[in-house]
Amino acid sequence: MWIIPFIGLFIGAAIGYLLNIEIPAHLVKYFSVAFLAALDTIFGGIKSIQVGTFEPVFLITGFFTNMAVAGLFAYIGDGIGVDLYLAAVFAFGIRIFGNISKIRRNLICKYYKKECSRCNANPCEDDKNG
Amino acid sequence: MDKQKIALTIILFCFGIIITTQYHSHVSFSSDLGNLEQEELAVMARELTTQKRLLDSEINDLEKRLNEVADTNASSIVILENLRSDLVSLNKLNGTIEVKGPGVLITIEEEAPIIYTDLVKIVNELWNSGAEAIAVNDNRVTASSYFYQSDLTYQMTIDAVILDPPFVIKALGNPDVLKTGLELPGGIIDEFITYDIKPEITTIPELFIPASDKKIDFSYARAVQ
Repeated sequence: MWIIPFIGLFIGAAIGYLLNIEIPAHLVKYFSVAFLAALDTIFGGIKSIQVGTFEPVFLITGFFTNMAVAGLFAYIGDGIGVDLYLAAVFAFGIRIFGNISKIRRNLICKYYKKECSRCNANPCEDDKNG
Repeated sequence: MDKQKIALTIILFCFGIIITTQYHSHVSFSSDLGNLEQEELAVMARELTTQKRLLDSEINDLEKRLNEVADTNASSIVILENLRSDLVSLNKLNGTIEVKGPGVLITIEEEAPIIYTDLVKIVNELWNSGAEAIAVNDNRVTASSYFYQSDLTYQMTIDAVILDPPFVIKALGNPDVLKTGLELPGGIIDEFITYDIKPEITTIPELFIPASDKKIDFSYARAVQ
């Protein structure tokens, strides 16, 4: 039933496309950081499902708070002249690609149905659900 | 369906909205010049300046061509009009077109004892008074017109066309000047009176003088450049 979340994604995309909401120009930059946070949360969530540490409440709260905080940080950073925006892009970039690689490894391990020492090693060390 | 999928569906749904919103915002943001970096703007400005210069020079070229074409057109129109008016003048002069205008009508009665030189004198006097076109009995007097009289029948001719009395001479020009010219003391009318010939001279506000049907062919005369 993995298809259902993706159906949700497409419905959301369709609604967003039809609503045609435009973020005010001066907020686009912060929203793009929030977008990265959301992306990071999603990959973190997928990974935690794979490793069995998934908590729905963590995921949903993490999704929105990460977005809000990332956007807020970028905004504050602009206000005080520190490019926290770039820091967020950098940090989220690393986390996203890290999570993607973990997801990929887990999928490969699952496919070959063999014990992979690195797949489930210390799952709780990762941030739960992003 | 377990909680995991529900949660994931919810956030992916939200993510779908976010990603499209971001897309829309980014598209409109990118198309707004105010949000571009200075370097980008400088590059854009340079490209636009170059483009503008090219287009400006194109405009200049096209305007120049337009002017040339217009000039050629205008001058050919002027030439054409000049040629046309020249043609009309020449036609009038050569008597190849009918003309009308004010003038005088000289009628010499049937019984008058005149000879062809009298007609020549009258025509001479009319030319001298500024006549622009003359016809004798509706025969146009042209540059090569000649009067003659048969020795046997005493019939007068103009350009070999027999003239039957009464003789009607039409002259186009300033009527008063023409009339005065004819009636000058010691002039042609005075001379006629001596022979008891009394031509009737009337000024006419609008006279028609027919065209000559003579064709002028030049076989020998050539223009001297």
